[in-house]
Amino acid sequence: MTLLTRFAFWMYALLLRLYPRYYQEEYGEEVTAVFQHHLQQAAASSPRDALAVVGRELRDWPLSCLREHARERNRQLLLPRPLFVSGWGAVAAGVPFLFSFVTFGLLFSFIPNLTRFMPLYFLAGGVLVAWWRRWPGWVVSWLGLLIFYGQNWLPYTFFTAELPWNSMSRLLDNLSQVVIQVGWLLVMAWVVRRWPRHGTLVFLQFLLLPWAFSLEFVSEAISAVIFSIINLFLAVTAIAIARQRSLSGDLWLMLSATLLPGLLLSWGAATFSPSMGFTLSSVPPQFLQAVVPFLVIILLQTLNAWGQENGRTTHRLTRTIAVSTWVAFFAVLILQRLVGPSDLAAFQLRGATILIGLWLLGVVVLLVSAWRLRSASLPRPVLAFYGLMLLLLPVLQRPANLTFMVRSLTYNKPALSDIAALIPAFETADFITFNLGLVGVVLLPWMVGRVRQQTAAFPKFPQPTGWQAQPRLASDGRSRRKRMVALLLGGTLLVGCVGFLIVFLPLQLEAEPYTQQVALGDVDGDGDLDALLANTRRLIPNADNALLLNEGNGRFVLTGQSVGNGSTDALFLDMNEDGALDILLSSFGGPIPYINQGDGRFSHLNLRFQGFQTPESGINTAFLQTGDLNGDGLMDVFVAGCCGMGISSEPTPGQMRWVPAANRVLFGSEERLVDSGQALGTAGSEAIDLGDLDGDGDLDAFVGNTQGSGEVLQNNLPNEVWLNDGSGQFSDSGQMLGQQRTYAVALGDVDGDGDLDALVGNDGADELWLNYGDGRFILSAQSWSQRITLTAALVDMDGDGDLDAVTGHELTSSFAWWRQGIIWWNDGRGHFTKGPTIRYRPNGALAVGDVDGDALPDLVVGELDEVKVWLNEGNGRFSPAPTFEG
Amino acid sequence: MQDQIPLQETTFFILLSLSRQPRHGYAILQDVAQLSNGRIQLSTGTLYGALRRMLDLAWIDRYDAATETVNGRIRKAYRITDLGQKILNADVARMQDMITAVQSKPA
Repeated sequence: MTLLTRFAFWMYALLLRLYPRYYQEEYGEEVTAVFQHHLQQAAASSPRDALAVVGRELRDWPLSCLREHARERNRQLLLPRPLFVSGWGAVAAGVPFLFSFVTFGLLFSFIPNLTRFMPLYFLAGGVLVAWWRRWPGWVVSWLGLLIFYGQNWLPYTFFTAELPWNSMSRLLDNLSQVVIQVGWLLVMAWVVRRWPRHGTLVFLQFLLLPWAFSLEFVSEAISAVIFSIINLFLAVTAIAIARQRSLSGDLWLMLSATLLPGLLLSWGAATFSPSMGFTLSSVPPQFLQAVVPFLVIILLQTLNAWGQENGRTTHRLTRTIAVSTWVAFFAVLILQRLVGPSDLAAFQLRGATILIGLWLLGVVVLLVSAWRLRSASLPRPVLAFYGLMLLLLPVLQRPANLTFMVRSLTYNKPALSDIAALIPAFETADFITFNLGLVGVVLLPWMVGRVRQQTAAFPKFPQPTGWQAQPRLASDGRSRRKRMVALLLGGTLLVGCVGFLIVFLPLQLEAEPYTQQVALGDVDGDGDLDALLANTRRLIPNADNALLLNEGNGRFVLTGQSVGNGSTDALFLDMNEDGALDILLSSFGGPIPYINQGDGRFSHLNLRFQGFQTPESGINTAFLQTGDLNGDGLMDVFVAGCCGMGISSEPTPGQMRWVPAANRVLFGSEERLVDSGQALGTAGSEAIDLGDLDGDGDLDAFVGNTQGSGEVLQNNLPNEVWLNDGSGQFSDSGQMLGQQRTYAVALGDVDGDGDLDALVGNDGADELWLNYGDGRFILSAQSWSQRITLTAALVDMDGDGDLDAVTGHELTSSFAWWRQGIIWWNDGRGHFTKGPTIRYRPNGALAVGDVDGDALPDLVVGELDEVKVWLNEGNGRFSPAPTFEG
Repeated sequence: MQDQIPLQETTFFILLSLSRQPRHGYAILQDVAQLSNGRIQLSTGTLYGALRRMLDLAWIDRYDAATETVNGRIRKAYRITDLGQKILNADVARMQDMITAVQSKPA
């Protein structure tokens, strides 16, 4: 043997090691023997022939090696046994849809309360089906899907029924959360065991999520990277699953297809929106949106089965539809971003853009499907049925598509009033088409079962060799090592899963009710500031407010008094002029007064506010500020109307009509607060501060706006300045200040020029607006926090005679673990530099006041029924005060 | 079946080789070279890539050639299946049609 042949053998052995392990085991000896034999024969002929053999091997090696790796990957992705749904099994699979049909479509109209228990129907249906079908894989997948969406549903459907917020309901809430989470994790553990590769990918995202949330506090960039990785996992999973060749694979494709849009939409909305209300109210459409890809896939797989006899590309349809759906979905997202580039809320299912986008998605699905349908040799009735389903799919994605679109297009457009008048007809049309679609959805699994039964008789395409090779792999030593690795990995995942459960679940539970505002005032006449915590929840405001009395040293004791619940704002003012501070609560049901009996004990005063009735479904008294607005010496109240709809008795007294909620002015009188009758803007105001902005001696209003009120919301409405004529009559100054949602406003002279400037806390970069002195403002070119700002205050924190700023921030995720308070030091000329920061829990609200009597303002954080204080040391530092329990 | 043809040249010659008798890898290599008059010289990578693909498609079958051993181990051999034979025949028929068309007299 020459040196050349020895070197060639060595090189060949080296290259062979780069092939997949399976290939080496199965063909390694064989190809080596062939190569050696071939080379020896060639070398015996001439060195040139030997070199040619080696050259050909080198030439072909890269492509051959890559091809074998691709083949190996495909082999691993194949499931060992295809599963076909029988006719009855398919009917059983339709049971959850049947529940949906019954509860959603028909009974909802007559018995609304049934929807409260819809998740239970779904879960029970899933369990029954699973029991009936003896837990085949697809049922468990289906159950997993239900549980996944159920975890969104269950608590909130209870809340929407406005159950009293007592210990039993809380227990139920927590219990349901635990059951749902544990159920979901068990399903995931099962998935990992059943399909290690895909299951692991899906599972990993759940392990990564808490890190993504928690690291957001450290760095939003890191958090964004983790979220990107999670999305990448999901995308890879979806692609990998799309390549599978069984019905189970279809269901996995469905599961993955639902996960990513579901996550993007629901978590995207939750992440970028300070209020989850809209997100939660759109959960049912999300569910439908999630189910639709599943239906499309089943539909197309069935068509695939019909066209299977040609035996070539049995899954081209599935791939096509999956890819086109995803492309359309991302196109919609991109479109939204282009339409509203500065609007993070664009990710929400809101407005005409997304509705049109969803329609676009449906149209793409329809066109692609129709294009593919032409090659399917289906019986005409079946073809017609599928055609109808395809037509209804876009409608099913959102039950009130037509109505919403008409409302969006005609809102505030008098010229289109004729079309708007047809809205009831569109509602009826939506109702009919939606129910028709659901009937079809109920029948679809049955049809699929029938078709599958028939296609089962078709000659099957030969199974890939990988299927036969799998058992052999399982018997060698390397496979045992693989199993050990898989076991360790699975164990690690489970441990991580438990950790996730321990860490994330309590946080999720605690994050539900939260403190919206902290009011500070001396209610018991002992000379120190006591605290009232306005507590609420995101969907139904049924968290009790809390009154805590200051012991004089900054320690707060919970009084246990009942001072209302579900308040978005609270303020202390002496309503009855007895010298003791009373309470005025802003709430879903309008302003609610609590009268101080003089010793810090409060009684609920059932005042009826003239002309200021509030519908049950709208928040139109969201935030309050008090001051003497009409110069009569009595305290009046400026009410930020925020959102939703209100009732107006104008123009005909006694005849109520629905109007978008507006800002109001309530004048104080001897006995009650009287609505002045002014409707000051419907821009969804969530922040106000009062002060003499134009130097005429009366109190004007700087109003921070968000997204408008009414049924059709707009985004990023500018803030407004309302000028007082001295008698409490306000007029719009016409200024449009800023293009972001504003949640906090603080007025104060920050630059020492004698007029009031405005610090504006936004959903995004905060702004400082400097006053010319006449109520006109110009934006200061300073960089502030980029986070969501919920609190803004201008107070001299360091005693140097100028106003410093205190801002309280929510991180960009609603599931964030912390909130952050920041002190900004003023140099006396209105230039601020970032100072110390504090962290508090995501259910907390920040306020500023001297609670320990040292004449230095301290930082006060209310967290539901607890007050935490950071005492101002006077040297620019703040130290946490011992808590009440200490 | 029609969408599987025309066959690649390599695939065609391998199937042709196996249609005459079952062979092991090196024998296929040599036979393909001979059948193509030395024009097609396969590397082992290309050969086994094609063999694996045809195994997946069930055009050929891999079996233990009990009478032949290499280094004390039973040698693997390959034989064409009925499906593979049909594919080959279909491709041959296609080529024959082409040749017939070329040789037919112009109208």
